[in-house]
Amino acid sequence: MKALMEQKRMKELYKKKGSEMEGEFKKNLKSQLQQFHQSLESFITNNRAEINKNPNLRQEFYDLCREIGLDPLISSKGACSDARESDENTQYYNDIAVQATTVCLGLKNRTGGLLSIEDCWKWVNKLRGQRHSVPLSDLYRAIDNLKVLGNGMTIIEGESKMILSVPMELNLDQRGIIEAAKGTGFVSYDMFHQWNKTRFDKAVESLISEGMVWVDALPNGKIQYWFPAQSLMSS
Amino acid sequence: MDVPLAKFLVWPPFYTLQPNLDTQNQQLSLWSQVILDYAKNNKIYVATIESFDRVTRNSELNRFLSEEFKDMLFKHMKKQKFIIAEGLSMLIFWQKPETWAEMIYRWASNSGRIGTVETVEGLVSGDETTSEEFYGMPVNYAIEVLKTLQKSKKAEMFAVGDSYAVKFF
Repeated sequence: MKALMEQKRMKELYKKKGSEMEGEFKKNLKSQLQQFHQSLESFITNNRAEINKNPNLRQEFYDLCREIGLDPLISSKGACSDARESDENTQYYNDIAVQATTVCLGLKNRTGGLLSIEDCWKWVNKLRGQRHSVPLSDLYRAIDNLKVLGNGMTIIEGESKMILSVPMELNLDQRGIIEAAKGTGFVSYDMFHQWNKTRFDKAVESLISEGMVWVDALPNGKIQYWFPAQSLMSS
Repeated sequence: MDVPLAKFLVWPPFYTLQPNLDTQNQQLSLWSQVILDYAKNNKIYVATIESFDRVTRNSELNRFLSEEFKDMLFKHMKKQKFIIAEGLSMLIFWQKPETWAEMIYRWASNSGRIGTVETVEGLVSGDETTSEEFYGMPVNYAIEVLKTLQKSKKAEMFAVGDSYAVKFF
């Protein structure tokens, strides 16, 4: 009986020691990983040109970053405005543009390619991590810079700025509906009493077929039209 | 990068079957996930459509899936092999039969059961498996799972009287 109790006590002791060691190990690993993370970050900043020039290095480097959960596209905006610095700035805006595109395309099947610039901003900063977060105005400029590449990514100006990441033109009626959904996230025909029903339906149906709008049939027979981009996306 | 499922569940249009087919496909796969999560969390192996009323209606939003919608959803899940219809009820596979089968086979090989004969009932409700994840699985559900082991020639099932037994290889 005594031996049995002793055995039990030893077992518990081992268990306790074991979990202590595990905790210590995890802590060490975490701080090592953090250190590695930091060195890698400064490596990116210092060797950017080399990484960009050498495709093999770039591929290996990107794979490594992905494995440890670091976004390889971190660059910072230069403070001065001489030629070298402005190159750096171009890089900075390009990186944000790539990140914004990644976000818009990543969410596209949920939003139909529509996303408010504020939501995009939140996702971009999530991608970059807190230490490298960027102001909204820089995101705006980065996306605006993409205009020269054609109509792949455009900003719909208006009270609420939306990013459109599919190559299409929105007409005035469609824009009017998007604008009206601001705040609540949905529209219904009774918000458009100055339009006739056909005009409203045509605009709404075109947005449904783009995947930008979901139909909500209320139990009382009324219908509301919801934009995932304006009601579902805020992270 | 995606929207968490919980957000859809409090989003009113999620409860209306969508007319745009691309959107509808997304919606059906999201709903499948909702059903499977619910079954998993509540350990529901065998169910009827009504078993899921608690998730398919949201009284706070005053929204619920129509009969037509539910019908489509469960058909979709059958097609995706998440569900096997059995009479009026359905077997819900929140883990693929193959995944369950692996678990059972691992138990059999770890406990020296290869080459011996076990009753299916003993396997899922006997004293030897109480700590296994598959413990508590209904016999007809286990039989579907063991069929996949039979297919990969790792087990063979046969009838003993009015119950089933299985031999592992």
